[in-house]
Amino acid sequence: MKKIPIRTWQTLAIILVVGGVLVLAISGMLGRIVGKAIDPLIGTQSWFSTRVNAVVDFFTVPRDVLTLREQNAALQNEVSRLQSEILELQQQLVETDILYALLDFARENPDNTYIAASVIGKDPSPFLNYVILDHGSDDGIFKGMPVVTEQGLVGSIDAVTASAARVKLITDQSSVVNVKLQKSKTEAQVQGSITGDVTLEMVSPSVQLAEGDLVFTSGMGGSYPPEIFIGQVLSPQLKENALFQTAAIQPSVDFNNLRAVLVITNFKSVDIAPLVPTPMQ
Amino acid sequence: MTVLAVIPVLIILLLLQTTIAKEMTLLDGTVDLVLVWLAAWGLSTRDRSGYILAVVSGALVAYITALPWYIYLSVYIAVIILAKFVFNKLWESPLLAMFAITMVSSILLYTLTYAGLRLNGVSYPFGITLNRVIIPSVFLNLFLAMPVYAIVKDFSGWLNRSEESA
Repeated sequence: MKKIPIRTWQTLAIILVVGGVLVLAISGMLGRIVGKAIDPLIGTQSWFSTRVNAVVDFFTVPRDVLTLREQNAALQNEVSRLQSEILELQQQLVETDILYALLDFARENPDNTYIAASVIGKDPSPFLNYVILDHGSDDGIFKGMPVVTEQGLVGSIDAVTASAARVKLITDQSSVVNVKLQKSKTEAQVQGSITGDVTLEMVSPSVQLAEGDLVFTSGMGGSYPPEIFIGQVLSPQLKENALFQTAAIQPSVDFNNLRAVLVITNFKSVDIAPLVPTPMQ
Repeated sequence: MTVLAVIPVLIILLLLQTTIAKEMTLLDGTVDLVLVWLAAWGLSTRDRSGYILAVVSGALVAYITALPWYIYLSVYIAVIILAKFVFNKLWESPLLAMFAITMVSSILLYTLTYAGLRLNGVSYPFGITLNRVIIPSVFLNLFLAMPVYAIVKDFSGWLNRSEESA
């Protein structure tokens, strides 16, 4: 019998092994066998990797924390700066809105000339409703000039210095404005009070006062120009045997949030006090 | 030197008075920071600086306010006189003295204001004025009396030490 050479056996073995692997791969058994063989290796690799990473972190993380802290501080500074910038811009936006509204008002009423001024303070006494403006006689503001906003009448200039002016608001107790009512076609007076409320006074009982009736300056008395909006009639009251009826007024101007105003500079108020007759002695 | 150091503080207080203090109201009453400060200063110091400060702050407020000029000036001087009198003669309990001076001087200020405005032809309804302005304002002044006294006491002590060391 002829002896089969070793080389042939080797070839056969290789073919068998390759064939077996192919059969196993085709039948899907190879994956499971390889998986079972590799799992311990993966476990070992994971264990080793975790330890190596821990050692690496031990040496590198403190340096990273320092860097992160520096970055965090820098970012916090940046956030603070941006927040203050946002607040500043919001403030500017509010002021711009107010100025645009005032500008619109000035454009809609071109007959008058105006000086815009900011409200910088209020009278320190709780009895008085006055505000202080940041413009004075150097800017052409003088005593008696009417003060308005785009919403309506604010008051009149009570005193001036070179760079500031004091405005008596229509809400002040001593303030009296001659007005006319749009619907009722009658004239009356608007008076302030210590609480800042504004009331309509000196209305004849025969006049039908209606809620919502619009109140404008009449121009009588020479203190204010006519047709400046003041507010709306809220609640008319006619007491029995009273000579006049009264009504609360809802002013159009928000006096608690008065930020900027317009001073009408081409109106000269008239002091009629010398013309008022005094009782004979 | 003490007076020169305190005048800026009074100016700042006056600025606060015309801005923030007027926004923080109780009904229609507001606090008078300068009055409370002067009351505390009168109790904390033994020299005559209080009188000068009273005149300066009275003149400053009189310049700003639409009230007759003599009201704030006279009341602020009265606060110092009262503080010296109470501290030296009546008792030496500064906290009680501070409350008493603040209350009396506040009532004096608002009574004089009421009378002064009436003299000028502006009449206020007494009931509403009392309930909505005078009592709340006095209460606010009393509310701030203790913290202001503590601050002024420390401040005057610090100024004295600074002067002595200089």
